[in-house]
Amino acid sequence: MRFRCIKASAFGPLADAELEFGEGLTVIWGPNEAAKSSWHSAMYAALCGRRRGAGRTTADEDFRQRHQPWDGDRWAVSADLDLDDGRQVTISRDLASRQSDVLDVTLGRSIDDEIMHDGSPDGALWVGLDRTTFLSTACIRQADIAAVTASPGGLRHLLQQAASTLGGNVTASDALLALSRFRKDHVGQDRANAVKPLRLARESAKRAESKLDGAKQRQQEYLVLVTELELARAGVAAAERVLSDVEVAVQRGRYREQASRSLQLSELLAAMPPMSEAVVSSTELDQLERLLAQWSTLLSSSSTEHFPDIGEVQAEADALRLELDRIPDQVLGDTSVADQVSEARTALEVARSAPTDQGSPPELLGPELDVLREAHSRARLAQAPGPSDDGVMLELDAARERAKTRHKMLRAGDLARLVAGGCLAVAAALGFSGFVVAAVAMSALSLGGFSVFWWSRQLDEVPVGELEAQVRGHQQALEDHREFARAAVEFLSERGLPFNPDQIQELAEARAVADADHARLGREQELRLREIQRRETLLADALTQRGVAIGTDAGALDRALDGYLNQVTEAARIADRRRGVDVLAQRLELSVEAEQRIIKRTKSRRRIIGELRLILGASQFAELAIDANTPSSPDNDDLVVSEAEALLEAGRASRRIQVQYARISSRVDAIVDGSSIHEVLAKGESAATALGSIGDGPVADAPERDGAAQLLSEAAQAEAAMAGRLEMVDAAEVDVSSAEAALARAERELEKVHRLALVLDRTSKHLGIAEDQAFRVVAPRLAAEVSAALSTVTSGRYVEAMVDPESLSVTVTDSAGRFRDAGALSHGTTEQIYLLLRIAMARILTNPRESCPIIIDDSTVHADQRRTEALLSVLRDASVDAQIVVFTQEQHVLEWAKTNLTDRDRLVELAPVA
Amino acid sequence: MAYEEQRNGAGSPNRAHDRAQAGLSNSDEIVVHPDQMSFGDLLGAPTAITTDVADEPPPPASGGSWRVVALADLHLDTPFAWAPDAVGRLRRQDLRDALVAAVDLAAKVGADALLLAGDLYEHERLNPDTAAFLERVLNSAETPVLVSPGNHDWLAPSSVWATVKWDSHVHIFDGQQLERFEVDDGLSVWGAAHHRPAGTPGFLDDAKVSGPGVNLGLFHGSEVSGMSYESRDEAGRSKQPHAPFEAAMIPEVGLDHAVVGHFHRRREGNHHTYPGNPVALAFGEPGDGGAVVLDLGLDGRVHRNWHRVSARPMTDLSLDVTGCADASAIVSELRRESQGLTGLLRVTVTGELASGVTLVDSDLAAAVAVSVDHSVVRRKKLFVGYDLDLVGSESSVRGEFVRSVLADDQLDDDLRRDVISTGLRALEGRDDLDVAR
Repeated sequence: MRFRCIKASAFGPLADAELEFGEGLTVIWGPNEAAKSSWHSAMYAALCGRRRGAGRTTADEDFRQRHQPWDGDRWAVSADLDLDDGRQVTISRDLASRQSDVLDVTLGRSIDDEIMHDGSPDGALWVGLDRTTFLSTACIRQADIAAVTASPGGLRHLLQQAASTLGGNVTASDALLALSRFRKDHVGQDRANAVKPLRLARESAKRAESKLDGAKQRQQEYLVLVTELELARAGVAAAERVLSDVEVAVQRGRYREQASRSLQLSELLAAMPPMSEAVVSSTELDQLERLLAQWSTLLSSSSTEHFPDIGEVQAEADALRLELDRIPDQVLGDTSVADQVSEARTALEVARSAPTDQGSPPELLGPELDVLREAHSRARLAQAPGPSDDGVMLELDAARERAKTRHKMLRAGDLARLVAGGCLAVAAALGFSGFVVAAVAMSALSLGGFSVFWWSRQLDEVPVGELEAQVRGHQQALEDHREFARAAVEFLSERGLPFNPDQIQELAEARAVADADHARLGREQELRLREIQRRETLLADALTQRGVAIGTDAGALDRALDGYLNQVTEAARIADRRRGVDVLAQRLELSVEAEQRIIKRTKSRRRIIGELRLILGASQFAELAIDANTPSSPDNDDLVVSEAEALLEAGRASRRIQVQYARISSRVDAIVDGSSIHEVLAKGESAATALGSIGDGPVADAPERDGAAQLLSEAAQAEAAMAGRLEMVDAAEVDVSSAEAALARAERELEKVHRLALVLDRTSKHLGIAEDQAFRVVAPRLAAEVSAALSTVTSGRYVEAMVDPESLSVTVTDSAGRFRDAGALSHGTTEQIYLLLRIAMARILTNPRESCPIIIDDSTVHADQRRTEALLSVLRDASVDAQIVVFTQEQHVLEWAKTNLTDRDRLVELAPVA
Repeated sequence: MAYEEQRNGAGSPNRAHDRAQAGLSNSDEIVVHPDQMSFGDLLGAPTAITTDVADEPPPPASGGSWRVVALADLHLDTPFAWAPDAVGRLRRQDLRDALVAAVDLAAKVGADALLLAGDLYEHERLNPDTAAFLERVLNSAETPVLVSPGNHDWLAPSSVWATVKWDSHVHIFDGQQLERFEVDDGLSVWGAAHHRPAGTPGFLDDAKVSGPGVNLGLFHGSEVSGMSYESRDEAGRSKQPHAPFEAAMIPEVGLDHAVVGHFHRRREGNHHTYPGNPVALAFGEPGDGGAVVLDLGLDGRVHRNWHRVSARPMTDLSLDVTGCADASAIVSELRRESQGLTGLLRVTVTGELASGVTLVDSDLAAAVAVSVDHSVVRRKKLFVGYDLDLVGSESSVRGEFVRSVLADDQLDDDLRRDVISTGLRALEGRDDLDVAR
């Protein structure tokens, strides 16, 4: 994009003024008051316009005050532009109303929308900038150039600003530092001793949470207190009800007690018997009871036992004694056959009676089994054929024939060897003599002779001797067989046995069976005899144990057995007679005992009756039928007893009345308890009436009433204490709502700080990434752009520039390859390099498809002529790629322009504004 | 019944007659004007809510007629976490003032009863001062007071309803099923209580009501078709259903009408009335609830008239700063928009903030009209007006930064917006880097 023309209809001091530009470098020279700054601002205003948002900013107001028309005309400006895409554009602006019109001159149509920004068209958008960034990117101020040389890092800092914000005042590093500081101040660390917002907010939230917990705790305590107070109130009410009930119960109990006493008294009085005198003393009454009890016992024993006449008892005892004396004494020995004797006797009889039908083993006839086996062996061998020669004879004959043939061959070989030796000698001689053919022929013969000799020696030797020995051995064996056969015939004949081996075999088998039967029968008979002997021994042992002597002769055992059996029979008979002795002795003992009991009972009866007579005689009982003179007899005794029983009953009745009277009197005294019987009865009547009025129910006593009263007192005290505690509750401390609100506020504040920290951290992260990435892209391009022109603008002194991608520090190398910090070079060189860098930066940071014009304002005001000219040369060269406009008031710039500008360039000389 | 004896002793079986004697015509309407309070009054002086008489529609013309005042969902001791401490306290005092105003209203309109349909306070935040307040106000009421505890002021053993010594004219429904309380000859109120903070079954389930005259229900529950209309809080949570019922069940069980609490929006059903919360608890609530005067006739007619008893309105103001060139323009806009507003104001700053503008919340709060008692400022969907397409096309660090942030898919939209604004401000050399505050 290039400015072609600016028209200021009314702009500051300018009115209907026009300014044209060259395609390359345009130098606009003018003295003070020539409106250079106004033209500069008019260019900017025409290209970028003013924003159209609501309200006015300070910048807007400042712009208005500085550049509104002096004469009050319509505030308007326009620019004719040539775009790199070939379009010609006119931008017309009414700066007062902020109305703009952007016209494509070729097509004759409005293209406002193409560059609309912040409410109005902004031509800076064509070069990838806006009305804000255009100033900092496309406009190079004198102060920028001065700053390059003002400090060692000036160049780097300006480059960083340009790369960071397209020439703004802040570098990315500045922004990162500002973020860090802001975070430190507005977030801070979360450390115990930190005093910044994060820590404060966290502690505040923690305090608020603790306070809320406390408030909730106290609120719960308050609710518990309220509940407990309510319970205490209920307890008081219940205690009051209990006390009231108990008091009624106490009264009821009192009435009941009085009524009861009255009733008891009435009943006792009704039950009290009349007084009477005793018929017998208490001692005699006890004696009567004891004696009658003894009598009763005596009678009860008489009812269960038989008491015969004492004389009969004594006679029976005498008869028993006599009978006992007649019975003989018992003899010694068994009274029955001992079991072991009986068993041994039975076993022996069984053994002896065992059947013997097998009889004795039969007699064995004929040759014994061994003989028959020998005979069988000999007969079988005698009938066997003799030994075979196995063809040895024939083989011997053949061997003898081969031996003859071999002998003949050996002799022929020997002859052939002799002939061959002679032929060889002849051949040698013929050879030496020159008869070669003959020598060869003889040699061949010689060779044939030797061959025959060799062949004869190859025949195997024939074993004729060995075969002859085998033939002799066979003939001897044949003779031995014949001799054996003759001996076998003789053996069989002597024993009368048949020559057939099979018949001999049958005889041997029959003899073997007979031998086995004979042996078995012999063993069985021996066993039977042994068993009889064993059982005889057992019987003898049994008898001996029973004290029976046994002789040693035959039949002694049987005799001893018979003697023992007879002895047992006799002993049994005596024992049978003595079997009644014990019964007789027992009967005798019983008779004696009966005699003694009868005597004792008679004595007791007499004693009881006697004592009873004494008591009856001493008593005042009027109804007695006997007296002391009544004789003793069973009937009289019964009468005495009967009268004694009557006396006992009368005495008992008299004593019961006395006891009852005494008991009732005692209870009456206890009930009356000092009062009169009449008073007690009267109170009882009143109490019964009162009970009817208060109704039925439980009763209680004074301690219970005291207890109920105590309970009520305690309940009332508990209620008062609880109410007191409740009154002590501080409502402010139970203010859960305020505590909740405080916590919510604290948490919101903490959340805000967290959120701010998050935003700042993310911002710093992305800004760091962006700085790194942007510098990494810009640095090599800057280096390339500057290097391309460096040699020219430094007259070959420096040939290459390098830009550090981390800091955008610029280093140059001279023609000798030495590195130099661009900021440390001479001021002139540094300024030249800076201008190259700014122009390159404008190219890099703007739209690559649209060149960005560079506007330089009084950039040489502090430079000497030489440096100024060098700079202007750089700008002129750079204007090939992008339009450059230089505003100046320097005379030597004017002079340089007049001399050095080309047709592409333009010099504008401004006159002071009137 | 003690209450009946007291009522008979008062000798006022016909409240319409009482109203006539009190100098109130049936056509008078009573309107509460809490706006007359000043900020200074709220800070120190006792509440000075006054009531005036205006046009109150006449009660049913024929047969018996009764008038009740209903209030619900006051939520005393609400923490108002969104507000500064002093404002929260003021707001909690507003809640108390509303109850006092409702009690006064009931007396002045000659109501037969003041019906409180639950959630008068919040049990988990109950403190002795609130308990004393309720005891004093309700026990001193000139009108019979009937209370059906709700899910927040449920009938715990330590609840106010169970522990305070209520005078005979205050009746607490303590059953878990509807129980009858005869307010007057021909007017029976059937009420029940929540006995736990959640999980209470519907009171109308398996209920059957019968009796002469008008049978009026009083309970705290969720009308199921109304759940979707209830506002959600800022976290998007809707109200939880408690003791649910369907509107059609009210006549089915034999009730002529029901006064119900729980929904904070007021609702006028054919057979039920939700008074709504009389004091908005948070910004965004409609705040259309209040104390409602119900005139009930034997012929089934019900006339409702709502009365605002809130001492202080809550207003949500959205301030779009798009196009404002500087902070002064924004301040001027806010000053203009807040003219005439009173009570509590929440200013939501939204829109595109010019890149060069430094916005300070305290400046905005100071710019709010002086008639407003208190204001809070928040920023929502506020973004700085950078041309990110343009900046992002730059080859500079700034352009690279914008591209890097836009490409970071780990950032949500808000965070991305704030990061870009912060970074670009830092690159501009500005020190107001906390763009969200």
